[in-house]
Amino acid sequence: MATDPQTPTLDARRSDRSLALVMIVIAAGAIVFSRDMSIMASVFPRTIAVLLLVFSVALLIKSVVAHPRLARPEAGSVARRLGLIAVMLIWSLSLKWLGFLVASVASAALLAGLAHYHAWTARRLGGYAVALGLIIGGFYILFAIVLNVPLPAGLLWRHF
Amino acid sequence: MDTLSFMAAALSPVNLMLAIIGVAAGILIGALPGLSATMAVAVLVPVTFGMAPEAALIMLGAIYTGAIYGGSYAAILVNTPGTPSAIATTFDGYPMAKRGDGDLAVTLSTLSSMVGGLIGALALLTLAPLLAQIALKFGPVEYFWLAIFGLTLISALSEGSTLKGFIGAGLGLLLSTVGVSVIGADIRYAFGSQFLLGGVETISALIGLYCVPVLIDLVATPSAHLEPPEKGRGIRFAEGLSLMWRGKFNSLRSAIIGTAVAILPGAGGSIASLVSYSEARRTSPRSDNFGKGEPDGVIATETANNATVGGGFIPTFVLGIPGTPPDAVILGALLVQGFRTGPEMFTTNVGVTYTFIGGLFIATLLMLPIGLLIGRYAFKSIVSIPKALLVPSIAFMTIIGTYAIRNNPFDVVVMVILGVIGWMLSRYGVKPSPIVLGLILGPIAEQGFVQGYLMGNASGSVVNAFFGRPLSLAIIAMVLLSVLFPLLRAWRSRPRTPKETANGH
Repeated sequence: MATDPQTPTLDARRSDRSLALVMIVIAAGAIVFSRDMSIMASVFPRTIAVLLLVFSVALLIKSVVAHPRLARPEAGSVARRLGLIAVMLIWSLSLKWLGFLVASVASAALLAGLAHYHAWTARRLGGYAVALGLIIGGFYILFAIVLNVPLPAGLLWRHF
Repeated sequence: MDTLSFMAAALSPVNLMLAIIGVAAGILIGALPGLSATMAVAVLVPVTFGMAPEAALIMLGAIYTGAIYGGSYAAILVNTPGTPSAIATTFDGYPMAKRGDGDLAVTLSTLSSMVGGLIGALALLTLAPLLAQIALKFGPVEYFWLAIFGLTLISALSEGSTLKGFIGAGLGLLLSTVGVSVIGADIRYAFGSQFLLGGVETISALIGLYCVPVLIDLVATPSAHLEPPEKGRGIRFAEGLSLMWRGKFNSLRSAIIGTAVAILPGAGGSIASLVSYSEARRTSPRSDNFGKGEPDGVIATETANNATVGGGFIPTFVLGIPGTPPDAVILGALLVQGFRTGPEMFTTNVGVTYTFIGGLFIATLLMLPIGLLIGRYAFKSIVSIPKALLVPSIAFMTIIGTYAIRNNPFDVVVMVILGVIGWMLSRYGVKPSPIVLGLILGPIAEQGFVQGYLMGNASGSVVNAFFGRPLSLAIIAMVLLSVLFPLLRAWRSRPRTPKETANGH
């Protein structure tokens, strides 16, 4: 989207250079790994990789000769952001082992803690726990029973 | 007269009840991220097997219409398109909700969806046989150029950093090639992983790229997710109507684009809404406001994606080729009911066909009261939910929605990883829309490109295969217009040097 004139911006030379270099590596990798494919299968990804390479080199040159600017990203807690990423990754990886219900209840509780900025009271804690329980329970019933989606039960619990 | 009496049969109490249930169920399923209109129709198809053919078709049409519209709720309120066809609704719907106009955005989406749905159904009623013949003339090369036309929308969607838009699209296109190739069945970029053989699932990628960045930024600050609406202003129906009247040409154009795109087999609501958004932005006097909460953006996308419902039924009924993915499911339901699509639908089975079209009109009209009612509560509840409940709830819906697409936990991992990559890339100026566009259009472009290349080789001239047909040339002209227009506009609005300014006065 176009950058609003009022939006605070910052110097994008370093970030554009990093972006261009990462994309050059990806495009070069795509070309290298397409060597073993048949012509029919490789013609499209190779064409795209070459185009990506050209655009990335153009971005690299632009970051050297011009003074690009970038909208300043939203400020906020880095620790909470990283915490959310970690919880979401562990949640997705643990579905198979812990089962859908256990992994989801544990992860949802952790996310509620990460997103909460005020003091915890017993009433608030109880209210949130009931609400989250209802949401998770409701969706679990909808998907597992009504829509018959085979949600993972958890490999870890098979021996118990 | 016969046509009218067949259509009036849709007004029987049972059919009306089925249309109401279908629209409400469709809206609720479509509003959940990860559950597309295709899934809504597919999940509920077995319910219709025991019904009379007319009733079954009316219910499926109502579910489809409701689900396409329902996709706009999540797009407006949590920046996550409930269905892929609501991708473009996030561009202006979410900024509107952030500034406290979510109620107006939902009302506009309801009104636009109704207008689009009615125009699409009217096209189905009047133009079906004629338009289906034109769609048949589209060969692989035309599909390739159509996909390229879709990709050129990036220049409109990422104005200000077009280069980064193209880089994002390149990344999306490369991601679309992971797995077994469209032609040749080679295994590409799977790196020995059996999970990557199936490729990157588009809807999981879409959920990750749009939703995870919102979650990451939601937990970072204690401030409210959306601005609460002013008290006592209701659903802002009158305001919505006046904005619809102001955008009547935009709405009409978007409905025509939606119907036309849907007639082309395989192209769906996502392409229709993106094309109409781009056109609305290109022609609007307020084009600079697009992407910042411009009501015309919501009108364009929501009119277009609901117009695809009626439009998509044209090739489905006349040729037996599904116009959009949910039409493929409905086509299957028709076969189960013992119907053969083709000219018979307008001769032997004309009663069923026109009763169904009547049902589609009724379902679309019912969407207005049902949609406004559900939409009002959806906005109020999303605004009043504290972040400590909103974040885990949205995260849970993304996880369960992604898993349910293919019952595959690996898709969930891919969704989260792509979401994190999308968040990092957006901090570097690469927005998620070009990546998603690349992912969606990649397989269409590749199939058309390789088939066109093979046809060209067989006929002795690859150039002639790609540039020799009038339909191809017409699409190429549209591609050029789409690429050159933003550049021309940027050149004309460039800051003038003092010398130029002096000469100009």
